[in-house]
Amino acid sequence: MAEIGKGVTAGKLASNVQKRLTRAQEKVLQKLGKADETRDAAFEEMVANFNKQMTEGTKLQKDLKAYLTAVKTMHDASRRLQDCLAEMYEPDWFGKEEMDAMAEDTDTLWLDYHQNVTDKSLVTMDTYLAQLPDIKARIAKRDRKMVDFDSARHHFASLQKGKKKDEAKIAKPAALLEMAAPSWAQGLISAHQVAQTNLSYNQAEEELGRAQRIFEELNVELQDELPALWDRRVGVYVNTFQSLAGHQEKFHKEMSKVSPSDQLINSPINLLIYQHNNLKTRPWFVLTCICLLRRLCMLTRRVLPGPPPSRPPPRLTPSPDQRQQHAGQLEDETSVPDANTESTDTALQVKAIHDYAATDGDELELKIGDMVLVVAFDNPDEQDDGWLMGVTESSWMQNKDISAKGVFPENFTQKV
Amino acid sequence: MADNKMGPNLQAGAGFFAKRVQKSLNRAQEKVLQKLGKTMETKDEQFELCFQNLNKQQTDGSRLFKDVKAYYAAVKAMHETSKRLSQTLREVYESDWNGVEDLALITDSEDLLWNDYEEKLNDQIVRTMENYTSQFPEVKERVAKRGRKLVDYDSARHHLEALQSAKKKDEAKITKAEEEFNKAQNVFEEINNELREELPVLYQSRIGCYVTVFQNISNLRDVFYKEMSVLNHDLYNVMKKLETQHSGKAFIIKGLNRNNLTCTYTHADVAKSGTITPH
Repeated sequence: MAEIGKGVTAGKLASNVQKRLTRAQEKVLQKLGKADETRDAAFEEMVANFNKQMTEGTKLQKDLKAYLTAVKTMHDASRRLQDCLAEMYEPDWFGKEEMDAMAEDTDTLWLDYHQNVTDKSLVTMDTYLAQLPDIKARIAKRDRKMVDFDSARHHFASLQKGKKKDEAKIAKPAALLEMAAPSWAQGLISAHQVAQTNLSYNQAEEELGRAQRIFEELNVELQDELPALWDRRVGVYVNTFQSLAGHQEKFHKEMSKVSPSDQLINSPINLLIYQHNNLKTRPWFVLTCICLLRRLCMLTRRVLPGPPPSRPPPRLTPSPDQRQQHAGQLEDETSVPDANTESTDTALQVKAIHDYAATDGDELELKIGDMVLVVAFDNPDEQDDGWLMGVTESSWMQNKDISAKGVFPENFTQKV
Repeated sequence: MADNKMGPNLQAGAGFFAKRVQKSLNRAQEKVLQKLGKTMETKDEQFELCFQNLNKQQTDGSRLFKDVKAYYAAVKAMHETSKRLSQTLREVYESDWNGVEDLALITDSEDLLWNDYEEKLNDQIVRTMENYTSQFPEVKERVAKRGRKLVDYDSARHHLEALQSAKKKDEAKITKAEEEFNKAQNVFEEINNELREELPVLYQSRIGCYVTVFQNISNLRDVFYKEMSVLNHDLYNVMKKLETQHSGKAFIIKGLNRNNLTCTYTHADVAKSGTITPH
């Protein structure tokens, strides 16, 4: 068995070597101008287009992959920032659930976007490009078969030319040989010579026919397919980029919806600003932040009237006046007595311990047990002693804004 | 320490050096005595809390700064890859295809939008975080200085108390010790009071910083997304126009397979019958 196998492989190897030698020989002859080549300018243009198509496609695929990697990185960076914020968020700040919900929605949007672009655009490109190497191989094969065809053609042509010469050449010695031959061999020698010549001639003719058939088959196929493929590239590009643009648009639109900037009031962050607006001294960046946001907020917020000028807070007996010290605050230690020493940034929620009926448009109605979220005065100078600005928690939950805020006497409430 | 062989400058330097050495020795001594419980430390637990807050604030700030920088880098990467993709599309776009000018306009606008976004991110957010985090080393240095002055203060007090409770009182020494005590007290109180006012304010300011950063990111992103989605829509339309121009040359994913001729389609077949028939 091994010997047969070896024989077959050896045979095949020998045949391949022979093929290559013949082709190399042919090509040299062609280059030296001693043999003409089959040329097809039209086909060459098709091949040029094909190569261009393959280069373009490969580049697009590469760029698309790089883009998708960047999308993933952006998603990660975005999530890391969100985690940072979530970690810094202290338990008594508002809007934690809303923020977490927004973070999750955003995360989903990123994942969907990446998935969609991968599934639609990248797969289109991948599929398109996957078929190209095969065609490239077939073009190369056609080239080789073309050389084979030329080689067979020239061989046959030279045989034809030489046939007549040969016949003349062997005539005389053959005739002499014939004369010397015994009677039973008469005519056999010349017949044999002729037969020999005819045999190689016929072989060459057969070879030529076969080479031509093989070449033409490949040639015709490719001549059909290449232009069609070239035209099809437009469809590929259209598909890829149309779906990419579509998904981008969808992604961007939906991301805007998750954190709307035209509804600043509603965003948890914004309420945080109001919560922490009341600082004794205001470092410059807080001021900048407040100014910036106030300007933005002005666009959407209804303008509320400020509190009326000073009025004494209603007396309640006994008046609860406990102030819990938040750890980390040193107001007691500082020796500066300030009328507004109360820091609403430490007590952000208060609970109503007594009903309060609003006597003015800008006052907040209180019922016992109401949770009130304290916010800053728009103009701290207008704040009266003992009065705070706030919105009831139920109102906030309902409207998601602080438009229903009002002033109320602090001593009707208790810090929680 | 006066050595006549040294020049006047060197002498002054030597004197200064000597003072420093003396200070260090004093402090070391005082710390040892404190540890042995032989002096009363000025208790200041609340300051300790302030200091812990400061450390946490600095750590949080650094982390946020790092994440902000990573975010900015990611935005730049997206810009870059997006731009390259657009360039390649423009390169493969033949001049006789529909929408070639629109495409140029769209890709240029996209580039401008990205640049604007990047710039604003840098100015409003990266810079803000940079400024915020850069204030901590100085504050921490002052806290450390306060610590040193506190030790000096305790040391001076201890010294004075020791002299005052001695059996044989040396008035001259006591007076001098009193002077030193007062000086140390003033120095300490000054820096202590400063810090006790500033540290809580600084700690509170973190909220303003975080809020600024996150609100700005959110706003910039929103504006960017809104405008980008418009450009995305435009590109979608350009592609649609191109598709219309080349209709009939629909792309079939099946592709070419010469061994299975039933799957080979050419555009001619599609255009002719309107349906796809194998040949």
